[in-house]
Amino acid sequence: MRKVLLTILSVSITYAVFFSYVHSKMKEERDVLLLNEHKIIETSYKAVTQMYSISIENYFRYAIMQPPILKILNDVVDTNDTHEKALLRGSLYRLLYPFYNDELKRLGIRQFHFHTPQGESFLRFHAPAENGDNLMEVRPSIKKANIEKKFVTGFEGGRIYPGFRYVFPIIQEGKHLGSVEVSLAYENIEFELSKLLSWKDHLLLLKKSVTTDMVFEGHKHHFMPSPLSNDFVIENQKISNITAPSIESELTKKINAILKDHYNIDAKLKEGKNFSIPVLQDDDGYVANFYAVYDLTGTLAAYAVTYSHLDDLVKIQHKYIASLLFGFLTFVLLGIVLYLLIEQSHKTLKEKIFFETIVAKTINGVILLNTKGQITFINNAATTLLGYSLKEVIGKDSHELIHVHPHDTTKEECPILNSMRYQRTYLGEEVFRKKGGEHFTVHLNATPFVQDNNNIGSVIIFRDISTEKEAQKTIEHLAYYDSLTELPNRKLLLDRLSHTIASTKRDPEYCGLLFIDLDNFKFLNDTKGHEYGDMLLKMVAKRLSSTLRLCDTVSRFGGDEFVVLVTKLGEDPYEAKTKLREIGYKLLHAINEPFRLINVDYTCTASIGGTLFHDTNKTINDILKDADIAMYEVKKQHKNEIKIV
Amino acid sequence: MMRHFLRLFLIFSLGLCLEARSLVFAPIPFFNANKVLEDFFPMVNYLEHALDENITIHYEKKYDDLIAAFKANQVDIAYFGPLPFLTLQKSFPYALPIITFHESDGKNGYRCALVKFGGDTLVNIPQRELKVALTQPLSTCGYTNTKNLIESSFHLNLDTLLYRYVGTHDEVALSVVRGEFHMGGIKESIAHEYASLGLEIIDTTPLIPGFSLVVNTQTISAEKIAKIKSILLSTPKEVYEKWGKDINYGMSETNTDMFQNLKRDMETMNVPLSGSF
Repeated sequence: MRKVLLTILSVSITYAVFFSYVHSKMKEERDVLLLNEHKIIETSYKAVTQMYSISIENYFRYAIMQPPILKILNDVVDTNDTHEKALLRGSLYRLLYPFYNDELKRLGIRQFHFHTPQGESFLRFHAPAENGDNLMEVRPSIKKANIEKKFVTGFEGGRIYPGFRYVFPIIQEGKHLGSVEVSLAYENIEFELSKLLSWKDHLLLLKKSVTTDMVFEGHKHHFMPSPLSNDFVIENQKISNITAPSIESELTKKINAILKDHYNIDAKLKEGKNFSIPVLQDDDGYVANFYAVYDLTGTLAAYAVTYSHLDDLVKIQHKYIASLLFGFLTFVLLGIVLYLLIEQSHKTLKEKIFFETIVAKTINGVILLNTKGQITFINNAATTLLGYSLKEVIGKDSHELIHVHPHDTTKEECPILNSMRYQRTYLGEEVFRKKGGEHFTVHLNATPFVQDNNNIGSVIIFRDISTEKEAQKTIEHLAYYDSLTELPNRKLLLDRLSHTIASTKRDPEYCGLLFIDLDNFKFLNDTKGHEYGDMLLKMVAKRLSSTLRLCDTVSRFGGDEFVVLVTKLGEDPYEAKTKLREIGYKLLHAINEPFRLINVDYTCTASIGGTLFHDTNKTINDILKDADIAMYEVKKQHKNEIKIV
Repeated sequence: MMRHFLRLFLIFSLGLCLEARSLVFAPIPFFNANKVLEDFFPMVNYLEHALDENITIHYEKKYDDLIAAFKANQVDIAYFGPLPFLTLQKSFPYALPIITFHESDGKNGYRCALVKFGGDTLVNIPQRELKVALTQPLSTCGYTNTKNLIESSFHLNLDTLLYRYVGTHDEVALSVVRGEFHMGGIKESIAHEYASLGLEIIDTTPLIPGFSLVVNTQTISAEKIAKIKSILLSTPKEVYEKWGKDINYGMSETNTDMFQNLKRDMETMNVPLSGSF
């Protein structure tokens, strides 16, 4: 459970990073698109508002600043008579109407307005009957132009239409005659934008403070609440639809409804900054670009908004979803793999710990070899046994360093290397060499590592069996030799006798068996103790051994009985018997020599019975029986004698 | 019998069809659409709210076209001057004036005025060069009353002068100020509006019936007509005084007797449909 949670946590964190990365990439890609869209509206708005600058400046210079006009304006300044002013207003209208109608209207400009030096409206060519209202407080452009006497340009509200103003102060020979303005009404801006942005839908959102809060009562109905915010109005569709195509198109309505319902558009509009909102709905991509328009006081006055299809948004979204989905699947797979790896890693680690524990704690030496026979791993038991340090053996050739071969065995003949070569386990005893050069026998198991039918190395597990070997030798010795006299025991004698009998079938020479029984041995034991008896037996055994030929066998048959097997007595039976007798006497004489038993000189005699055997039908028992009977006859008669039968 | 049944069926179908669409209002047919719409929109808006019904605006540039649309049942309510209304009613008896708008002096009739620019003098101008601006052939202050005013003021026959129809009262006023015409015939109230541009009234006619709202009894039920009349007559002053310049001085129920004199003039006078130059 912990591992599962750990895996889920790791994958989740990684996926979160991946998600964040993909999201930022998508946003980056989308922002580039939106920026491009935004630049279009920004450029279009600037183009619309700036396109008239040069023409208007020229008009001011060559059409307005003309003597007849200046004379009328001069007369206006000089009179207080209302009737005279009306006539001057009419005259000005009459004089400039052709210019207004032929030049300005042709450019699409409808607002042409003269003001008095006091900032009163003197003549509106677009609404000639409406004049005399003071604009100083509601129109910063007029105030600035008439007080600072500077050309003023920018977006601004108004009594009839908000729009983009070009206001020129009129000064003749230092005399201030008022000002004149040419304005692009918001309708003109929308119209011009529609020409530049013919493939897009657009809308001009006007801030209430520069429209319905400021215009004459009769003009308020030109505006209606905007669908996006109560702080903004748009051109009244019921009025504009009669004379112009609907500004608020179906697309505009659709996107505005989405913006109103799903985005905090009101708050965004209040920020007064340019922004774009990408909209995705029903697998269609749209974008709404808001270009903030500021008035002459630097206050937000309007937003020029474009609405358009933007299919690339859908493509980006699809790519984004595909990436996330692909990423999700990849991370799920990765999670599974990671989980399995962790599982496997834990298992491997556990196995490694098991292996290392086993290898470290085992008394057996463990050596790993590569395919070249070089040592790649060695455990503590092995280094201890061999007397090497780890550094001294790693990478060394095992064949040369530790393996002792009986007859200059080559690598090709080495059983350990061959086990690897032929991909079979080798079990056997080998001799290893210690650091000091000392040899010792090991029992080893060499098992090759095979992967895809290829050798990748071998493991040698070995143990020092020198002690076992010694123990085995001792056991074997005890089994066949008499522990007191070190002479072959009854078993070994019978064995050798059996072999000798068998060999007589091929060898024509006679063999003989002497049965020796010490006389009065029991008395020695009883009187002096077993310690004396045992010493006598040992000394007798020594004398018998030293008297006999190497090819003969003397054995302790039991108690104070010794049996001597004599071979190679010749093919002649008489001679053989003679030889056997001679040997018997030699032995008897050896026994008769005095013994020094601890602190006592002791003279011993023995009764010896012998028999010859050849390639006959005599069995072991027959031979032993014959010799034994012969010995008993001696014992019965006078002891310390020999009888050969 | 069969023919009678078919006629009834057609009337019934037409009735259903008309009921299905929203009410259609037509303002005075002037060239300057925005200005007219601006003037009439508040009243239409008020009616919409009061009736709780959407009202569509139907705009025509000339009285001829408006009358044609009215007769074709494309218009339910229209703002008519007295002369155009009489022209309509002559061929379409279903047109019924229900509300007459007052003038600035509070009367439910108005005067037509003969105007000129104050800076112009007409004395030395040869008669054959005198140019007169008229609104429209069917306009009340158009040919008929302007002809009467020129006769009474200058003892001249309009038919011997140069005259031309320019569309709206405002356009007549402004074209005179611009010096394109020496005189023009317009509503007295409009002449006052342009006084600030030096427009002067030479003479005025006696009181004639005011502009009225005319309903199409073929397309609107009597109940709805009664409701519209009731709504408008009970409109508070603070509401209607914010309406457009020709309809912001109050209303009263139309007195059809006031149309009698004008009806007689119309029958005796032959109005030319185009100008003389």
